[in-house]
Amino acid sequence: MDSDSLHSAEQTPRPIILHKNDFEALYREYWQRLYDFALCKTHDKDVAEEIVQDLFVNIWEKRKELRVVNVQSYLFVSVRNKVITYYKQKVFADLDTASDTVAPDYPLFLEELEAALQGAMGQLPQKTHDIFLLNRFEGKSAREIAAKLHIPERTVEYHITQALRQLKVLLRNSTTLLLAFISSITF
Amino acid sequence: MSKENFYTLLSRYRSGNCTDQEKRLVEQWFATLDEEIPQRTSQENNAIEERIWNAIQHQTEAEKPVFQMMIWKWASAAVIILALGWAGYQYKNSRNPLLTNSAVSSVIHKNLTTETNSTNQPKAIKLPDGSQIELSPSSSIAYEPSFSGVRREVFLEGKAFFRVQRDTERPFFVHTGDVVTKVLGTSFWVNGSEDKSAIEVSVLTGKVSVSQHARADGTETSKIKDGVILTANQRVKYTVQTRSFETGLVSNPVPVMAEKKGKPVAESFDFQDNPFSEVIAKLEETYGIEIILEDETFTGCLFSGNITKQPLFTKLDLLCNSVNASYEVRGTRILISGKGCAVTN
Repeated sequence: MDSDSLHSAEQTPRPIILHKNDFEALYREYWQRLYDFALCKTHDKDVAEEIVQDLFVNIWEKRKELRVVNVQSYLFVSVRNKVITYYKQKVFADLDTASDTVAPDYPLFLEELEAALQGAMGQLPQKTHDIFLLNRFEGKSAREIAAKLHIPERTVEYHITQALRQLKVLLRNSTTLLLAFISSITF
Repeated sequence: MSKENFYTLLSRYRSGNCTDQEKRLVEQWFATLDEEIPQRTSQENNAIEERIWNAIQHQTEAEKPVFQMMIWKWASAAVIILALGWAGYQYKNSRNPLLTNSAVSSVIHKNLTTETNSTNQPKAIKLPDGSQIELSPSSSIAYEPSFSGVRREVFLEGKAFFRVQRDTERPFFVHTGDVVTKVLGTSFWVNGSEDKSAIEVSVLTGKVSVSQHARADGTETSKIKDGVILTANQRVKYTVQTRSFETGLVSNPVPVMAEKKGKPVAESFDFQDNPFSEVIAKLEETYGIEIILEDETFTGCLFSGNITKQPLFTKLDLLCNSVNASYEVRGTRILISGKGCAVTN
């Protein structure tokens, strides 16, 4: 789904920046969608700015080696990874101790998390669920999803709104400690 | 511990070394994070666009590894609560006598925007230049609404955490009672509460200078020696009665050095029979704190163990225990003394 799309067979990976002007053009074209994506995930304007900034600085530094098939998905996947890293560090800063070893109750934790998330996501209708993941996880716009699934854009928007509304209710009603924790780290 | 497990899960996902189940869980969790984004005006949008672009240009043109600091700023935001204290000074370069007490009061009478935090939660305030302030309860802050001048000036009563937007053209000043703190771009605490007998400044990142206000009577020379420069993990306490500055370390120093090659993990402190002095040198570099070994007695001492995740002072406890030494914080430095390893096994 994610990084695989960078190496799809039909296209050859290309450098995305050949000239300094390409760099600015790339920024101007994408900054806002990337910033909004980072902001709605982190809920912190400074962090969102830093993520976008960091991403473009990384791209500039790697410009000679970087080869990309789909620029847009490369950018969104990069932001997504930075968001996850941000949460990872936020959890890390909260820990008194942490080690590289996996705690004995880790498998149990995964089961609980699975149950909690399935409980919420699983209650979404299949189509809503799929569209929601395409939009929220892969950063695809409503228009792109509409084109991909051959359905009207309005329908896609409806599914996304429904998914968000239902998930909010489901997660709010959840009484598991685990979910309380996961939603609390999102501040 | 859920948190520890959650950390494990995210680490495994980011390292690419995870099962399909773990991948799916992270993806689903990620999908539920969304919150509505507040509407922005087109002016706000342009401001953000230009701010980020300037920052990118700044970093790519200079080709300096400044960007590596970014990630730690996030981490430090969580650590900040623990870190109280360091201060800085260096106000001597100011040629402009604006900061005399009389001048300050005249500025105050201009139309300053005042924000007071009467809640019992910290209050977030965004300044016109994008700098951020977390104003503690029972504290207030005043500033020029536009920041139009050649310097950005803020007047604080009480305690606040600052994350200052870098702008080398317009230095940022925080006035707190007798003390003025000058910065170019950094994050730090100023604590002027405590019945106003003392003012404390602590630096998270970057460098600031803390000094006394120039006296209105023009005894300018006094201020040159009455100040200090603080770097990350340092703090200074200014005692009003004695007009003296006392520097020290923050209670929980955080790494100031970014990770190599933009890798967003903490510097590793995993050792296998490494010389004690080498371990100490790495601590010095990572935390930006000077550590002095008493004499040469530690030659031949070796250390093994993984102390990556411990706070600095716990690291030092573990290190010192292993070689029968002890450490003490002296001002902004740490002194380690011991008998060396000749008598131990």
